[in-house]
Amino acid sequence: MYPKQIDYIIPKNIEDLLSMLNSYSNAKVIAGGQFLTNLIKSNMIDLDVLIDISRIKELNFVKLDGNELIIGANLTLNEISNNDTIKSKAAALAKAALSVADIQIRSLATIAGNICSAYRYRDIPSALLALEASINKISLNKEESLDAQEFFIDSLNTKCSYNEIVKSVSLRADSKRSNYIKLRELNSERSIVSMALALFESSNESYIGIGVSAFFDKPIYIKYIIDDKKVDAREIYNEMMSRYESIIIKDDIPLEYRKRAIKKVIDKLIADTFSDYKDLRLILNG
Amino acid sequence: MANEENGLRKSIKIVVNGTRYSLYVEPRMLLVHLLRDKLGIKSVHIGCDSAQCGACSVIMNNKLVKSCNVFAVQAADSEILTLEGLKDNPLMRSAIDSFIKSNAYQCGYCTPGMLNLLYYIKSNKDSADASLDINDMLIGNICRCTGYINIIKAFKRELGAQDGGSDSR
Repeated sequence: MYPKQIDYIIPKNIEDLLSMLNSYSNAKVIAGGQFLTNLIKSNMIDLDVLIDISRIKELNFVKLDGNELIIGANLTLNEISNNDTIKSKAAALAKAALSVADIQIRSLATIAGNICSAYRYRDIPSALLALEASINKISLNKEESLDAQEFFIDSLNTKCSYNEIVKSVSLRADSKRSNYIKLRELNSERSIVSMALALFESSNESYIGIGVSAFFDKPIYIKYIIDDKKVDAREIYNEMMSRYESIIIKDDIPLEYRKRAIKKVIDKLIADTFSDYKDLRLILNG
Repeated sequence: MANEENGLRKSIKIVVNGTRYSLYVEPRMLLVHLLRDKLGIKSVHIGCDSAQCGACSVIMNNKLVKSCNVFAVQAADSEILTLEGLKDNPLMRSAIDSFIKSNAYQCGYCTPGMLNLLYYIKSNKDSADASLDINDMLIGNICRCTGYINIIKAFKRELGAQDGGSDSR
Protein backbone atom coordinates (compact mmCIF):
# COMPACT_ATOMS: atom_id res chain seq x y z
CA MET A 1 0.00 0.00 0.00
CA TYR A 2 1.27 3.48 -0.85
CA PRO A 3 0.73 6.31 1.61
CA LYS A 4 -0.55 9.67 0.41
CA GLN A 5 1.84 12.01 -1.40
CA ILE A 6 4.44 13.67 0.79
CA ASP A 7 7.33 16.00 0.21
CA TYR A 8 10.84 15.21 1.40
CA ILE A 9 13.56 17.68 2.32
CA ILE A 10 17.06 17.46 3.71
CA PRO A 11 18.34 20.23 6.00
CA LYS A 12 22.03 21.10 5.83
CA ASN A 13 22.48 21.56 9.57
CA ILE A 14 20.58 21.99 12.83
CA GLU A 15 19.84 25.66 12.20
CA ASP A 16 18.42 24.85 8.81
CA LEU A 17 16.33 22.06 10.32
CA LEU A 18 14.83 24.30 12.99
CA SER A 19 13.81 26.94 10.50
CA MET A 20 12.26 24.24 8.31
CA LEU A 21 10.25 22.99 11.28
CA ASN A 22 9.04 26.51 11.86
CA SER A 23 8.02 27.03 8.23
CA TYR A 24 5.97 23.84 7.81
CA SER A 25 2.87 23.24 9.83
CA ASN A 26 2.57 19.51 9.20
CA ALA A 27 6.05 18.04 8.95
CA LYS A 28 7.72 15.09 10.64
CA VAL A 29 11.39 14.62 11.34
CA ILE A 30 12.84 11.32 10.18
CA ALA A 31 16.28 9.86 10.88
CA GLY A 32 16.19 6.05 10.88
CA GLY A 33 12.43 6.10 10.57
CA GLN A 34 11.97 2.56 11.81
CA PHE A 35 8.85 3.42 13.82
CA LEU A 36 7.62 6.39 11.81
CA THR A 37 7.75 4.69 8.41
CA ASN A 38 5.35 2.00 9.54
CA LEU A 39 2.91 4.67 10.66
CA ILE A 40 3.24 6.55 7.38
CA LYS A 41 2.86 3.40 5.27
CA SER A 42 -0.36 2.49 6.99
CA ASN A 43 -1.68 6.06 6.80
CA MET A 44 -1.90 6.17 10.57
CA ILE A 45 -0.49 9.68 10.69
CA ASP A 46 -1.14 12.64 8.51
CA LEU A 47 1.81 14.65 7.27
CA ASP A 48 2.84 16.78 4.31
CA VAL A 49 6.59 16.87 4.62
CA LEU A 50 9.34 14.55 5.83
CA ILE A 51 12.47 16.32 7.04
CA ASP A 52 15.36 13.88 6.89
CA ILE A 53 17.96 14.68 9.54
CA SER A 54 20.03 11.53 9.06
CA ARG A 55 22.72 13.41 7.16
CA ILE A 56 23.29 16.09 9.80
CA LYS A 57 26.74 15.22 11.09
CA GLU A 58 26.41 17.41 14.22
CA LEU A 59 23.87 14.92 15.52
CA ASN A 60 26.08 11.88 15.19
CA PHE A 61 28.71 11.74 17.93
CA VAL A 62 29.74 10.19 21.24
CA LYS A 63 31.65 12.38 23.67
CA LEU A 64 33.02 11.63 27.12
CA ASP A 65 33.19 14.87 29.10
CA GLY A 66 34.42 14.19 32.62
CA ASN A 67 31.75 12.14 34.33
CA GLU A 68 29.26 12.75 31.56
CA LEU A 69 28.73 10.72 28.43
CA ILE A 70 26.96 12.63 25.66
CA ILE A 71 25.39 10.77 22.77
CA GLY A 72 24.18 12.52 19.62
CA ALA A 73 20.56 12.08 18.59
CA ASN A 74 21.39 10.29 15.36
CA LEU A 75 23.51 7.54 16.81
CA THR A 76 21.89 4.28 15.78
CA LEU A 77 21.16 1.52 18.24
CA ASN A 78 23.63 -0.64 16.34
CA GLU A 79 26.34 2.00 16.76
CA ILE A 80 25.52 2.28 20.46
CA SER A 81 25.81 -1.46 21.06
CA ASN A 82 29.18 -1.51 19.27
CA ASN A 83 30.71 1.63 20.75
CA ASP A 84 33.60 0.87 23.14
CA THR A 85 33.15 4.03 25.22
CA ILE A 86 29.46 3.34 25.75
CA LYS A 87 30.14 -0.31 26.52
CA SER A 88 32.65 0.60 29.22
CA LYS A 89 30.92 3.66 30.72
CA ALA A 90 27.26 2.79 30.23
CA ALA A 91 27.04 -0.96 29.75
CA ALA A 92 23.32 -0.94 30.55
CA LEU A 93 22.63 1.28 27.56
CA ALA A 94 24.79 -0.80 25.20
CA LYS A 95 22.93 -3.93 26.31
CA ALA A 96 19.54 -2.26 26.04
CA ALA A 97 20.36 -1.09 22.52
CA LEU A 98 21.28 -4.64 21.52
CA SER A 99 17.96 -5.92 22.83
CA VAL A 100 15.74 -3.63 20.76
CA ALA A 101 13.66 -5.21 17.98
CA ASP A 102 15.94 -6.98 15.50
CA ILE A 103 19.25 -6.54 13.67
CA GLN A 104 17.69 -4.77 10.69
CA ILE A 105 15.74 -2.27 12.79
CA ARG A 106 18.78 -1.53 14.98
CA SER A 107 20.84 -0.76 11.87
CA LEU A 108 18.83 2.41 11.26
CA ALA A 109 16.84 3.19 14.42
CA THR A 110 18.37 6.03 16.42
CA ILE A 111 18.44 6.76 20.13
CA ALA A 112 16.39 9.94 19.69
CA GLY A 113 13.84 8.17 17.50
CA ASN A 114 13.49 5.47 20.11
CA ILE A 115 12.78 7.82 22.98
CA CYS A 116 10.72 10.36 21.03
CA SER A 117 8.30 7.82 19.63
CA ALA A 118 7.61 6.88 23.26
CA TYR A 119 5.88 3.65 22.34
CA ARG A 120 5.18 1.83 25.57
CA TYR A 121 7.33 -1.22 24.85
CA ARG A 122 10.56 0.74 24.45
CA ASP A 123 13.69 -0.69 26.03
CA ILE A 124 16.05 2.29 25.92
CA PRO A 125 14.23 4.45 28.53
CA SER A 126 14.98 1.96 31.30
CA ALA A 127 18.72 2.32 30.72
CA LEU A 128 18.50 6.11 30.43
CA LEU A 129 16.63 6.35 33.72
CA ALA A 130 19.05 4.04 35.54
CA LEU A 131 21.99 6.10 34.29
CA GLU A 132 20.21 9.31 35.33
CA ALA A 133 20.15 10.73 31.84
CA SER A 134 19.17 14.18 30.67
CA ILE A 135 17.52 14.77 27.32
CA ASN A 136 18.91 17.82 25.54
CA LYS A 137 16.38 19.55 23.28
CA ILE A 138 16.75 22.45 20.94
CA SER A 139 14.30 24.80 19.21
CA LEU A 140 14.75 28.06 17.33
CA ASN A 141 14.49 30.05 20.54
CA LYS A 142 16.13 27.95 23.19
CA GLU A 143 18.10 24.93 24.26
CA GLU A 144 16.77 22.96 27.19
CA SER A 145 17.94 19.98 29.19
CA LEU A 146 15.29 17.81 30.81
CA ASP A 147 15.69 15.03 33.31
CA ALA A 148 14.68 11.75 31.65
CA GLN A 149 12.04 11.23 34.37
CA GLU A 150 10.32 14.40 33.24
CA PHE A 151 10.72 13.70 29.54
CA PHE A 152 8.45 10.65 29.36
CA ILE A 153 4.82 11.57 29.90
CA ASP A 154 2.95 8.36 29.08
CA SER A 155 2.94 5.53 26.58
CA LEU A 156 2.76 7.78 23.51
CA ASN A 157 3.79 11.24 24.64
CA THR A 158 7.00 12.95 25.57
CA LYS A 159 7.97 16.51 26.36
CA CYS A 160 9.33 17.07 22.89
CA SER A 161 6.97 19.36 21.06
CA TYR A 162 6.47 20.00 17.35
CA ASN A 163 9.04 22.68 16.67
CA GLU A 164 11.88 21.26 18.73
CA ILE A 165 14.14 18.25 18.41
CA VAL A 166 16.22 16.10 20.69
CA LYS A 167 19.81 17.06 20.01
CA SER A 168 21.59 14.67 22.35
CA VAL A 169 21.30 12.56 25.47
CA SER A 170 23.65 13.00 28.45
CA LEU A 171 24.30 10.13 30.85
CA ARG A 172 26.26 9.74 34.02
CA ALA A 173 29.47 7.96 33.15
CA ASP A 174 30.62 7.45 36.74
CA SER A 175 28.53 4.45 37.73
CA LYS A 176 30.59 1.68 39.29
CA ARG A 177 28.73 -0.80 37.16
CA SER A 178 25.49 -0.94 35.23
CA ASN A 179 23.46 -3.72 33.74
CA TYR A 180 20.28 -4.39 31.81
CA ILE A 181 17.86 -7.25 31.34
CA LYS A 182 14.80 -7.74 29.20
CA LEU A 183 12.02 -10.26 29.43
CA ARG A 184 10.21 -10.49 26.15
CA GLU A 185 7.05 -12.08 24.94
CA LEU A 186 7.32 -15.51 23.39
CA ASN A 187 7.88 -15.37 19.62
CA SER A 188 8.27 -11.61 19.72
CA GLU A 189 10.85 -8.95 20.34
CA ARG A 190 8.33 -6.99 22.39
CA SER A 191 9.17 -6.53 26.06
CA ILE A 192 7.14 -7.65 29.01
CA VAL A 193 9.61 -5.71 31.07
CA SER A 194 12.89 -3.92 30.43
CA MET A 195 14.95 -3.19 33.49
CA ALA A 196 18.31 -1.52 34.03
CA LEU A 197 20.33 -0.60 37.06
CA ALA A 198 23.43 1.46 37.81
CA LEU A 199 25.45 1.52 41.01
CA PHE A 200 26.65 4.91 42.22
CA GLU A 201 29.02 5.19 45.16
CA SER A 202 30.25 8.29 46.95
CA SER A 203 31.56 9.08 50.41
CA ASN A 204 28.06 10.15 51.47
CA GLU A 205 25.92 7.35 50.12
CA SER A 206 25.76 4.38 47.84
CA TYR A 207 22.69 3.74 45.82
CA ILE A 208 21.35 1.89 42.85
CA GLY A 209 19.46 3.79 40.17
CA ILE A 210 16.84 1.52 38.65
CA GLY A 211 14.92 2.17 35.44
CA VAL A 212 11.92 0.14 34.36
CA SER A 213 10.16 0.41 31.02
CA ALA A 214 7.54 -1.54 29.08
CA PHE A 215 6.00 -2.80 32.32
CA PHE A 216 4.02 0.34 33.05
CA ASP A 217 2.36 2.96 30.94
CA LYS A 218 5.36 5.18 31.56
CA PRO A 219 8.98 4.36 32.34
CA ILE A 220 9.77 4.74 36.04
CA TYR A 221 12.85 5.42 38.13
CA ILE A 222 13.58 4.06 41.59
CA LYS A 223 16.44 5.16 43.78
CA TYR A 224 17.45 2.31 46.06
CA ILE A 225 19.77 3.42 48.84
CA ILE A 226 22.12 0.71 50.04
CA ASP A 227 21.92 0.34 53.84
CA ASP A 228 23.86 -2.18 55.90
CA LYS A 229 25.69 -3.35 52.79
CA LYS A 230 22.70 -5.26 51.51
CA VAL A 231 20.49 -5.19 48.45
CA ASP A 232 17.00 -6.52 49.09
CA ALA A 233 15.24 -7.36 45.84
CA ARG A 234 11.94 -7.65 47.72
CA GLU A 235 12.08 -3.98 48.64
CA ILE A 236 12.66 -3.03 45.01
CA TYR A 237 9.66 -5.11 43.95
CA ASN A 238 7.45 -3.63 46.67
CA GLU A 239 8.50 -0.11 45.76
CA MET A 240 7.62 -0.72 42.12
CA MET A 241 4.24 -2.18 42.85
CA SER A 242 3.24 0.33 45.51
CA ARG A 243 3.96 3.30 43.30
CA TYR A 244 2.52 2.18 40.05
CA GLU A 245 0.15 -0.75 40.39
CA SER A 246 -2.84 1.38 39.55
CA ILE A 247 -1.57 2.32 36.11
CA ILE A 248 -0.55 -1.06 34.74
CA ILE A 249 -2.15 -1.44 31.33
CA LYS A 250 -4.60 -4.29 31.18
CA ASP A 251 -3.56 -6.31 28.16
CA ASP A 252 -3.50 -9.97 27.29
CA ILE A 253 -0.79 -10.78 29.80
CA PRO A 254 -2.37 -11.57 33.19
CA LEU A 255 -1.32 -9.30 36.01
CA GLU A 256 -0.37 -12.24 38.23
CA TYR A 257 2.00 -13.48 35.54
CA ARG A 258 3.48 -10.03 35.23
CA LYS A 259 4.07 -9.83 38.96
CA ARG A 260 5.79 -13.21 39.10
CA ALA A 261 7.82 -12.31 36.04
CA ILE A 262 9.02 -9.01 37.46
CA LYS A 263 10.18 -10.70 40.65
CA LYS A 264 12.29 -13.11 38.61
CA VAL A 265 13.64 -10.28 36.48
CA ILE A 266 14.64 -8.22 39.53
CA ASP A 267 16.31 -11.26 41.12
CA LYS A 268 18.24 -12.10 37.98
CA LEU A 269 19.36 -8.54 37.40
CA ILE A 270 20.54 -8.13 41.00
CA ALA A 271 22.25 -11.53 41.08
CA ASP A 272 23.94 -11.12 37.68
CA THR A 273 25.19 -7.64 38.54
CA PHE A 274 26.37 -8.10 42.12
CA SER A 275 27.16 -11.78 42.63
CA ASP A 276 30.90 -11.01 42.54
CA TYR A 277 30.55 -7.95 44.76
CA LYS A 278 32.10 -9.24 47.98
CA ASP A 279 30.84 -6.65 50.48
CA LEU A 280 27.22 -6.75 49.41
CA ARG A 281 24.62 -9.16 50.80
CA LEU A 282 21.90 -10.01 48.31
CA ILE A 283 18.36 -10.89 49.37
CA LEU A 284 16.22 -12.13 46.52
CA ASN A 285 12.48 -12.55 46.02
CA GLY A 286 13.05 -16.28 45.54
CA MET B 1 18.83 15.56 -4.72
CA ALA B 2 16.55 17.91 -6.64
CA ASN B 3 12.82 18.36 -7.14
CA GLU B 4 11.54 17.45 -10.59
CA GLU B 5 9.71 20.31 -12.23
CA ASN B 6 6.38 18.51 -12.22
CA GLY B 7 5.13 17.13 -8.94
CA LEU B 8 7.01 16.00 -5.89
CA ARG B 9 9.35 13.49 -7.46
CA LYS B 10 12.97 13.63 -6.40
CA SER B 11 16.06 12.87 -8.37
CA ILE B 12 18.28 10.30 -6.66
CA LYS B 13 21.49 8.49 -7.47
CA ILE B 14 21.94 5.00 -6.16
CA VAL B 15 24.29 2.08 -6.76
CA VAL B 16 22.59 -1.30 -6.78
CA ASN B 17 24.68 -4.45 -7.14
CA GLY B 18 27.48 -2.39 -8.64
CA THR B 19 25.34 -0.60 -11.23
CA ARG B 20 24.88 3.14 -10.90
CA TYR B 21 21.35 4.51 -11.42
CA SER B 22 19.94 8.04 -11.65
CA LEU B 23 16.20 7.98 -11.12
CA TYR B 24 13.19 10.08 -10.22
CA VAL B 25 11.17 8.70 -7.34
CA GLU B 26 8.22 9.84 -5.29
CA PRO B 27 9.17 10.40 -1.65
CA ARG B 28 6.47 7.94 -0.60
CA MET B 29 8.02 5.13 -2.64
CA LEU B 30 9.62 2.43 -0.53
CA LEU B 31 13.04 1.06 -1.32
CA VAL B 32 11.56 -2.41 -1.82
CA HIS B 33 9.29 -1.07 -4.58
CA LEU B 34 12.18 0.75 -6.22
CA LEU B 35 14.23 -2.44 -6.26
CA ARG B 36 11.44 -4.75 -7.44
CA ASP B 37 9.27 -2.58 -9.65
CA LYS B 38 11.74 -0.10 -11.15
CA LEU B 39 14.95 -2.13 -11.21
CA GLY B 40 13.48 -5.62 -11.59
CA ILE B 41 15.35 -7.15 -8.67
CA LYS B 42 13.07 -9.98 -7.67
CA SER B 43 15.02 -11.67 -4.87
CA VAL B 44 13.78 -8.86 -2.62
CA HIS B 45 10.44 -10.20 -1.42
CA ILE B 46 7.50 -8.45 0.18
CA GLY B 47 6.29 -10.71 2.95
CA CYS B 48 4.51 -8.47 5.39
CA ASP B 49 4.98 -4.80 4.46
CA SER B 50 5.26 -3.93 8.14
CA ALA B 51 8.95 -4.51 8.91
CA GLN B 52 8.28 -7.80 10.62
CA CYS B 53 9.28 -10.68 8.36
CA GLY B 54 12.67 -9.69 6.92
CA ALA B 55 11.97 -11.17 3.47
CA CYS B 56 12.90 -7.78 1.97
CA SER B 57 16.23 -7.51 3.81
CA VAL B 58 19.06 -6.00 1.76
CA ILE B 59 22.51 -4.64 2.52
CA MET B 60 22.56 -0.83 2.42
CA ASN B 61 25.98 0.76 2.97
CA ASN B 62 27.10 -2.40 4.79
CA LYS B 63 24.06 -2.35 7.06
CA LEU B 64 21.32 -4.97 6.96
CA VAL B 65 17.99 -3.15 6.51
CA LYS B 66 14.39 -4.02 5.76
CA SER B 67 13.77 -2.37 2.42
CA CYS B 68 10.02 -2.17 3.12
CA ASN B 69 10.84 0.16 6.01
CA VAL B 70 13.06 2.63 4.14
CA PHE B 71 11.85 5.24 1.68
CA ALA B 72 13.74 5.16 -1.61
CA VAL B 73 14.73 8.80 -1.13
CA GLN B 74 16.44 7.89 2.12
CA ALA B 75 18.64 5.50 0.15
CA ALA B 76 19.93 8.27 -2.13
CA ASP B 77 23.71 8.11 -2.63
CA SER B 78 23.87 4.71 -0.99
CA GLU B 79 25.13 1.37 -2.19
CA ILE B 80 22.67 -1.51 -2.11
CA LEU B 81 23.50 -5.18 -2.35
CA THR B 82 20.92 -7.89 -2.91
CA LEU B 83 21.25 -11.62 -3.43
CA GLU B 84 21.72 -11.04 -7.17
CA GLY B 85 24.80 -8.92 -6.50
CA LEU B 86 26.20 -11.21 -3.83
CA LYS B 87 25.70 -14.61 -5.41
CA ASP B 88 29.35 -14.91 -6.46
CA ASN B 89 30.75 -13.50 -3.22
CA PRO B 90 32.63 -16.27 -1.35
CA LEU B 91 30.87 -15.56 1.95
CA MET B 92 27.46 -15.69 0.30
CA ARG B 93 28.43 -18.71 -1.80
CA SER B 94 29.32 -20.58 1.36
CA ALA B 95 26.05 -19.46 3.04
CA ILE B 96 24.06 -20.74 0.06
CA ASP B 97 25.92 -24.07 0.16
CA SER B 98 25.10 -24.44 3.85
CA PHE B 99 21.44 -23.70 3.19
CA ILE B 100 21.38 -26.38 0.49
CA LYS B 101 23.26 -28.95 2.60
CA SER B 102 21.01 -28.27 5.60
CA ASN B 103 17.83 -28.28 3.50
CA ALA B 104 17.15 -24.90 5.09
CA TYR B 105 14.29 -23.85 2.89
CA GLN B 106 10.87 -25.05 1.86
CA CYS B 107 8.85 -22.59 -0.18
CA GLY B 108 11.95 -20.37 -0.42
CA TYR B 109 10.12 -17.11 0.10
CA CYS B 110 12.11 -16.07 3.17
CA THR B 111 15.40 -17.51 1.88
CA PRO B 112 16.94 -14.39 0.27
CA GLY B 113 16.34 -12.40 3.45
CA MET B 114 17.74 -15.22 5.58
CA LEU B 115 20.82 -15.48 3.35
CA ASN B 116 21.41 -11.74 3.47
CA LEU B 117 21.18 -11.91 7.27
CA LEU B 118 23.71 -14.72 7.38
CA TYR B 119 25.99 -12.88 4.95
CA TYR B 120 25.75 -9.73 7.10
CA ILE B 121 26.67 -11.65 10.27
CA LYS B 122 29.60 -13.34 8.55
CA SER B 123 30.82 -10.00 7.19
CA ASN B 124 30.63 -8.38 10.64
CA LYS B 125 32.06 -11.07 12.87
CA ASP B 126 33.30 -8.62 15.50
CA SER B 127 30.01 -6.80 15.88
CA ALA B 128 27.63 -7.06 18.81
CA ASP B 129 25.08 -8.63 16.45
CA ALA B 130 27.47 -11.51 15.74
CA SER B 131 27.72 -12.22 19.47
CA LEU B 132 24.01 -13.01 19.73
CA ASP B 133 22.56 -16.48 19.98
CA ILE B 134 21.35 -17.69 16.60
CA ASN B 135 17.74 -17.55 17.78
CA ASP B 136 18.21 -13.87 18.61
CA MET B 137 19.84 -13.20 15.25
CA LEU B 138 16.75 -14.61 13.59
CA ILE B 139 14.20 -12.44 15.39
CA GLY B 140 13.79 -10.13 12.41
CA ASN B 141 13.36 -12.89 9.85
CA ILE B 142 10.25 -15.01 9.76
CA CYS B 143 10.02 -18.39 8.04
CA ARG B 144 6.44 -19.55 7.86
CA CYS B 145 7.06 -23.16 6.85
CA THR B 146 10.28 -24.82 7.99
CA GLY B 147 9.99 -24.53 11.76
CA TYR B 148 13.47 -23.00 11.67
CA ILE B 149 15.30 -26.20 12.63
CA ASN B 150 17.17 -26.52 9.36
CA ILE B 151 17.73 -22.79 9.06
CA ILE B 152 19.38 -22.83 12.47
CA LYS B 153 21.45 -25.81 11.33
CA ALA B 154 22.63 -23.82 8.32
CA PHE B 155 23.51 -20.84 10.52
CA LYS B 156 25.40 -23.14 12.91
CA ARG B 157 27.25 -24.71 10.02
CA GLU B 158 28.37 -21.27 8.87
CA LEU B 159 29.03 -19.61 12.20
CA GLY B 160 30.53 -22.50 14.14
CA ALA B 161 29.40 -23.77 17.49
CA GLN B 162 27.30 -20.90 18.69
CA ASP B 163 24.42 -21.31 21.05
CA GLY B 164 20.83 -21.15 19.92
CA GLY B 165 20.26 -24.53 18.34
CA SER B 166 16.90 -25.15 19.92
CA ASP B 167 13.69 -24.53 18.06
CA SER B 168 12.38 -22.12 20.65
CA ARG B 169 10.70 -19.61 18.40
